[in-house]
Amino acid sequence: MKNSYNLSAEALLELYKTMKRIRMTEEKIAAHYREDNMHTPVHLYIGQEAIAAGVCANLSKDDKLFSNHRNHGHYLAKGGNLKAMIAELHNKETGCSKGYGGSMHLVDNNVGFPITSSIVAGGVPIGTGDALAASTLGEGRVTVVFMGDAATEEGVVYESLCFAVLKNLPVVYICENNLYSVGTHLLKREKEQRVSKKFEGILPVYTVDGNDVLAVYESSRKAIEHARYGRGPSFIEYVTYRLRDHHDTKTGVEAGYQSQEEWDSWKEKCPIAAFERILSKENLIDTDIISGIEETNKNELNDAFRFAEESRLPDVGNLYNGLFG
Amino acid sequence: MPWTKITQSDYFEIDDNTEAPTSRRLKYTEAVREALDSALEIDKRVFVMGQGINDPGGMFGATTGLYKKYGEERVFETPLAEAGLTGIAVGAAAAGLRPFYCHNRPDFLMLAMDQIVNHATKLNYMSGGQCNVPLVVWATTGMGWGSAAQHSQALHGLFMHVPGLKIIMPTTPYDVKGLILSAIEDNNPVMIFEHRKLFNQTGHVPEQAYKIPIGKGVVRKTGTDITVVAISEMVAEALKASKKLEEEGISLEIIDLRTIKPFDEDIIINSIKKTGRLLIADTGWATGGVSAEIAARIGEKTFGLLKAPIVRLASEDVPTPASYVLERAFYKNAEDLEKAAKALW
Repeated sequence: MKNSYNLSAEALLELYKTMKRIRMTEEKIAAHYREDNMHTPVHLYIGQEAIAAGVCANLSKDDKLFSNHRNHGHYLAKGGNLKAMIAELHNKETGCSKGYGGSMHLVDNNVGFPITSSIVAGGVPIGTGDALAASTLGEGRVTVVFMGDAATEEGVVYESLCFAVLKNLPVVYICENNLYSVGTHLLKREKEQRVSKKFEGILPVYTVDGNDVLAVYESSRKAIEHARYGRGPSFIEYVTYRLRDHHDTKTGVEAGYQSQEEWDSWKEKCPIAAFERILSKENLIDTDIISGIEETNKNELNDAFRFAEESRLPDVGNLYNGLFG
Repeated sequence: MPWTKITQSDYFEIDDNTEAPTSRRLKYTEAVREALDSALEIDKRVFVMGQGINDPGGMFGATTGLYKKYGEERVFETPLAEAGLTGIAVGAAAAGLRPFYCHNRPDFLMLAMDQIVNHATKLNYMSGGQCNVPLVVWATTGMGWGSAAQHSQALHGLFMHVPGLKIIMPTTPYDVKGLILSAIEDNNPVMIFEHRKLFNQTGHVPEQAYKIPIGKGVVRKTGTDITVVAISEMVAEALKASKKLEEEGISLEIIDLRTIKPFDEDIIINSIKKTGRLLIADTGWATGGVSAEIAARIGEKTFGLLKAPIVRLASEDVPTPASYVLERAFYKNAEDLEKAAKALW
């Protein structure tokens, strides 16, 4: 049963649930961060949830996602294991990276989350190489590479996009333009404010509202299909805003680099609140359904935190494990 | 004379008869090419990439014509984008392929440092063992003909510092073939630093594919008085020097390390037990370099066995100059090694 959004009611609800799950996870991490049980720098995804949810709804488990330091939302949307993620943040051996990666390096081969680099743009060529392997081996899967706006200032992005076009690789580049590189606004870093314009001469580029989950879903669906059917790479810039600081749990206003007015205007554009209004209009959710979803998430999160707290820390004797494969 | 050719006087031959029981002889670069040919034949996951590899010159002959046999999907030219292309090779390796990335100078690897140091060597460790990277990076150290500071650097020492890497520096046609095949078969990032001066030598190379273990050195010449640990081209210099020194009654035992990371400590220590003296000869700089690491590590373990302080012979701590007069002062050769050995004796 399709509606005016060309998506089933289940699919629409699924997008909503994914966003809510990410938001509540990040809020719970923030709430507990000061307890000092998570010795790892966290980069929260609050405000950007529509992008991970919308893009990943178009991916199968075999498709691969290459993420970055701000990866919690990507991991969960890609089907990641919440317990393993929270355990990784708690530095435990049950973490998805066994306590060797921390928050910035979530990796999970079970869900197509093979490498996460916290060197800005570092994962972009690697994801491109993954697409080269997929293409060479005829695997029929698609690679999606996430980067921030600041990553596009790095030369390897240009090099990667050019190579992907040269070899017609099945890859989609997703740029989450949240306007800030740590605390520096895009206006201070680039003359051109539309990030995708820099790559116009290389491959198909799009700029889309990153806080509109349906627009994200639809635009990434087209790009992913395009790649899957052998028509080559594309680049999508999603314009968004993070409602927390670059890392840690406060806001950019509290950190002193965002104005209250700017922050308020983006808070009003919160992707989850906006989608709630749409779903209510479609009679797909009401307050009962929302509290039901919240209750489920709360329970799941409590379980995950308990699991993480009760898990063992890595054995010091395993310091050299994994140096070589 | 084109600057990419090396002169006849740079011709070396390292006796490898003990290890290669065959009368078939190949040039060094032919042995490299044969190794790549074997690897491409044996393993469909292997591919070779690099800027200029499909040129008629093909990496000094090491890759010439391979694309004709295996197609340009598996043997391909790269754009001049070392950082991006190294990352692409890392990603392809992590996803199940076996890239062999050729560079005709290690100097150009400086553009790829982020991907080698921050990524290739880290991904398996920081993912808790979920992502090994079977990547080979091959580069040829240049020398002479005024190549100067940006086309002749011996940078292997820089990479030795980084955990997660294996580093090979072969000296004979026999070794290079066997070590390349081991490197490609290895599940981890391996770097191979060649030396241009060794490229024109010929040596015994069996036709079939074979492997030489990474991390094992070899005694090139047995002797009783001084242990010389030589790296890359310095093996040839040491062999030359040993002939003269022999006449003067000083007997060198020459160890060709072949792999500098991890390096064969046992072969050095066993030799020192006999000689009580160690001279380390490297093609790179002394400060913080390979010779420093070997001296420190072996010194820690053989202090009581040594009759004299460990001596190092390495390039002067300046960039490579262009003028041949200055070049001669910069590089260490058999004569310098002879002097150092006499002083140590």
